[in-house]
Amino acid sequence: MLHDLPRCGRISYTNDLPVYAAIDEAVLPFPGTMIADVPARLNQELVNGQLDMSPVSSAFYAERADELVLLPDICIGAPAKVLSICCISAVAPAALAGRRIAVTRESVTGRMLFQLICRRHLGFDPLLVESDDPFAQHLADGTPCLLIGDKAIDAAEQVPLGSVHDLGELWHRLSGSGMVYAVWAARNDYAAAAPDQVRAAALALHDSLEWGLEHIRRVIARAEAARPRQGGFYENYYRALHFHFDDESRTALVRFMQAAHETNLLESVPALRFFDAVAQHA
Amino acid sequence: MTQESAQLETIARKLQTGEPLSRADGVFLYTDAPFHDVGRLAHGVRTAKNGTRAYYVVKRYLNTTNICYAGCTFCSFAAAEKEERAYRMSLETILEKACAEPNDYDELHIVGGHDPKQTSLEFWIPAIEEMHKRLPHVQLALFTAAEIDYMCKRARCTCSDGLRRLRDAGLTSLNGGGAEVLVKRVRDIICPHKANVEEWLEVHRVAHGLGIQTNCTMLYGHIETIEERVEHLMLLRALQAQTGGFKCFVPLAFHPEGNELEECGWTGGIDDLRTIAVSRLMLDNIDHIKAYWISYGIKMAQLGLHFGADDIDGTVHNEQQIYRDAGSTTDQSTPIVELKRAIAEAGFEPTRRNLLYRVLEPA
Repeated sequence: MLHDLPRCGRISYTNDLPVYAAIDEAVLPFPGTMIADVPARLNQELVNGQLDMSPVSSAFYAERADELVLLPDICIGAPAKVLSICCISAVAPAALAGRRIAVTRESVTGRMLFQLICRRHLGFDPLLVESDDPFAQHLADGTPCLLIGDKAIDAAEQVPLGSVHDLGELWHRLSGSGMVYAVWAARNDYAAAAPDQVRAAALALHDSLEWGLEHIRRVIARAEAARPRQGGFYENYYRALHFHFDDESRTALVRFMQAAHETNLLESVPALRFFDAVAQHA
Repeated sequence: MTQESAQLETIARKLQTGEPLSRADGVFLYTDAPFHDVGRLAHGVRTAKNGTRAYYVVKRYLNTTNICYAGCTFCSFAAAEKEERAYRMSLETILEKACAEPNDYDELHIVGGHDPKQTSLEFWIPAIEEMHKRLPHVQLALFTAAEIDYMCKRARCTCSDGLRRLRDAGLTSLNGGGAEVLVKRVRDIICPHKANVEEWLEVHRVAHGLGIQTNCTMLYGHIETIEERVEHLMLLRALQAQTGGFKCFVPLAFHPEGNELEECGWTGGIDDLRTIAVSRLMLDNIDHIKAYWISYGIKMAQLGLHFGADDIDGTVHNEQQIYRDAGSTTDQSTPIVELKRAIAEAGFEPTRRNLLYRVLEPA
């Protein structure tokens, strides 16, 4: 069934607030409905047909690229430090061979990136164990854990600095690459059936992001109201993140997928297919 | 509402709900939070944990050797063997001093140095056994983690093996010293030749696992930054969350005389009180915070009791040489009655405790 307005996912973290800034502030209308959730659930809901468009984890996109088309303008990436994807461990990640590492179910990209770093650069396959509350486990018995989103930011504030290992920074140091953590995509069938709706929603997101970056103080105030943090945190956070799906970001995403493929974390490396190209082709 | 008061309110809410404070909270409390507010919050936590009690201990303190080859730049106590002021007590002297009348004290606290001829398992295991025979009522607080690390390395055994042997001989508790500031940058400058951050923490972790309770300290007021102090506190809190083996945290103010870091000067009273208070607030999972009167003087220790501390240490019988060498002029032989009076005058209930904080004699 085709819905008049696209059902769109949005990530329930503070990382994407710049993308939705103008919509949140009612500066721009959004031609769709919005459902917020954690990345792993948005991924599933998009391919299950419960959503028509959504941000999805890069790793998930890489695995299901044949079912999805990318919106060409926006992503969530970072050239190096990302601040919200962390391994929390009293010892360096290089010393974690053979140790159980508690991981959140919320994201597949953080997990794939960590596996990639360990396999490709640190020489071991990490022993990841799913947990409902990896950080509580870390606090209780020191079990290293992998966290994403606001939970990672909060945890990083509560443990000794030496226990915080930013995966974006680690990946950059070891590979020289930046990283794209999430991309926006529409389901193929929806994009083919309702290209105008997809185009309108994509345009609104694009315009909203541009407004958000121009009015970053208001975005920061919104983030601080939603999740108060110490002065200056959100300035640094949004400065560290990169929201334009430009050539640099696209190269980073392809490099990540290639590396994941070379380390047997990804079956094949898909070509990036963009909505505009698909629409024009159709 | 100013950002400052909003931040204080967030901290107060966390304290009420039992949420550990963040690194940023710690730095804020140290740098920007109004002094009285920090004290008020710390006093609230101290009162919730320990009521109106203020603990003291009747103990004997021995520095059994000052020969030390760790070469810490903050230290005024250590001497090389050939120096005139170098001394090393024989086992007989140690036992004699430990047993000298009046020996109705509750705790024997011994700290030495990295002395190759004394700081060894071979020397101390029989010594501990003998002390237990002669002073069965006394609990032994011997060695810092740095000394344990040194002894075990010299004996080529794991710290688990070494600590197990010491425990079986009668070691009750480890002292909290040797921590200085648990940050590599700082240790590389002030104490590059003794247990590193991981080793210091590991000794305490293993001790806790073996049922040996320990104290922990922070030597502040030299080259460290505020962020490094907070990092230190967070490392202690993280270990405590896993083991629960720390009984007491003791902030130790750096004393500058007669060492290489003289230019750092003395800590100020405001810094001392704020450090006690921030420690109380950050270390939510450690029961006791000490305002060590031998370092601060009794008057500042009284104030410390209003800024989060619940313990002032105690009578020391023998003089505590380490702070004296570093310039402390505090009268170190204050009798029990004086300590009790100081605690009572500060508005608290003097409570005699033993090493493990068992109450021996409430007022």
